[in-house]
Amino acid sequence: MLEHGVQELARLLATRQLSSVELTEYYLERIERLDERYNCFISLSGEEARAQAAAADARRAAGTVSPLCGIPLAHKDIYCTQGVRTSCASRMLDNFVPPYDATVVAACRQAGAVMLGKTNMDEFAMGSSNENSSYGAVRNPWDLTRVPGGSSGGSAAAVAARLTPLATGTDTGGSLRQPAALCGVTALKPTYGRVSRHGMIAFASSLDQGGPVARDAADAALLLEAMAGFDPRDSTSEDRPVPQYHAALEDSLAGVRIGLPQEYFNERLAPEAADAVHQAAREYERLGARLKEIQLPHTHLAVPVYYILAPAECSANLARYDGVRYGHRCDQPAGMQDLYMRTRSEAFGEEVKRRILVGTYVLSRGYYDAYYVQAQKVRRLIREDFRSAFADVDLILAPCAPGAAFPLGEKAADPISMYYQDEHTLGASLAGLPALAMPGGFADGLPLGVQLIAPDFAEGALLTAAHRFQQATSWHLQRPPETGGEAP
Amino acid sequence: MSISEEEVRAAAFLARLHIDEESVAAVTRTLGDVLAMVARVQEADLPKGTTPLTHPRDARQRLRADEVREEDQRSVLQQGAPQVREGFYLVPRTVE
Repeated sequence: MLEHGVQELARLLATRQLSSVELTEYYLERIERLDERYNCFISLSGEEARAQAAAADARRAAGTVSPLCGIPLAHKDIYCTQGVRTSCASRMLDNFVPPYDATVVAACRQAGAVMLGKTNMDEFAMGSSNENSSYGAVRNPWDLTRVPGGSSGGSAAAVAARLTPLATGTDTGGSLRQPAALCGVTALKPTYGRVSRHGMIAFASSLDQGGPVARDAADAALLLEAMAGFDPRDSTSEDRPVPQYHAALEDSLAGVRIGLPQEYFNERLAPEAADAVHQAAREYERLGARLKEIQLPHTHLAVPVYYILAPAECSANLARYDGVRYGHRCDQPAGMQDLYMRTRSEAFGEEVKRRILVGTYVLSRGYYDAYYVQAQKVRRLIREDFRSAFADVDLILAPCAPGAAFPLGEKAADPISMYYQDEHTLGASLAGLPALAMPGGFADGLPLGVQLIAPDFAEGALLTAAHRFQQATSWHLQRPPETGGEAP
Repeated sequence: MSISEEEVRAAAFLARLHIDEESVAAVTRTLGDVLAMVARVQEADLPKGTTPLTHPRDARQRLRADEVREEDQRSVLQQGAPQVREGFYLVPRTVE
């Protein structure tokens, strides 16, 4: 069962060799038995899942259904799910049960997907290791002493450990791509505006995007088709049709021009991570693509720009957590200021507080122009870098993370070292461009990812390029030893 | 640029966050390190006329007709509230 991709599962369901109820029970049992070692899930929705599975089987019996009908998936605990706790991995929302579904959740429900539960994450999506969760760290299925990456660590680890065939995640500075790289799965951050943010709890509103996590590009394509689309409830949602990504996966790569950005191969990049990209480049040449070096000259400013803008936006977005209307409220507040101070100080974790403080400072009088406005101007230069590059190439191939998964606790005392985990993913985030991470090799039994970046709304090109790579290679077929796979 | 403890306390107050006195020095050091790192944006050579980028594609805010489209869902929305009475959220006295 664990070998089957979503299309194969859909075929088994269609030919009645399997029911959605059986498939759902299979995954619920695996989670029950195995998740203790990974801590991928914050909440399980077993009863709802069984009901959704039965409804999916009934829909299938009554007529044609979409490819995701009856397929189990997990949602990152940042998406509001009506009637099911949505915590953002924070004490602040430990008691929050949303009265509505996020648009992404509603879309998956409409497609007939079955929600197994809500996955663990870094608190309010702030982190690159999934160690900043008030429900405990997630452990990498490839090595339980190491991090899965973050902030969508629970989703990436759950797919890697075969606790779910599919998961949703979000990516603000790399939070889908970096954990995908560290867990050996495939994930895609769409173009800003491609996927609705309505009901996706906000971290940094000009950067947040939701996307799929899957074992391969073909499965990711199916989930992205369901997730993407115009939503009038999201004022930044782009009104353009969603292509049938799965239909174009077999397109040829002959003549496709792929750029390798020189600046991404810096002294902080582990040699094995660089080798994985170069090996992927050779594979793409064999597939008919033409490779060339490109420049993205402002790459070195991506981390400083992001760690001004994202904290600034988060300080505004998290101001709503005040103990008044929902979420945590401190005991017996003595007055309004006490209500705000104690509610927020008790319920936010250290990294969240740190970013709120940075954000508040860079927006404050006297510093606003030097930090915030300056960062926005440099952000334009970063986007211009990509625009210039895409005049010469169709896709960019780059590292995804500086190396393989690092040990739990290694970067706990060094926030800046943690921030530099994102240095290869931040550029595409700041430029609003679609980017995909996929397995590209191994080092000492740990996955190494590679990243593809495309122009605006070229998610199809990313998925096709990833699919063709995955047809020619087998990195994505490896499973962690604990799921019955063998160490590569 | 480094940050002083006084500035940290001021930012904390603006953000309505409490920092224990014994933690202020350590928080100040860490914030100082982060601010020193992000201050590198000031090294950028900005071409004349570079404007801030607030949306990746410089999109404009989409507007719609000013018509009521939502139903009153107060009772549903207040189900999880810490304290409510007769449709109002209860909070400590706001006027001294």
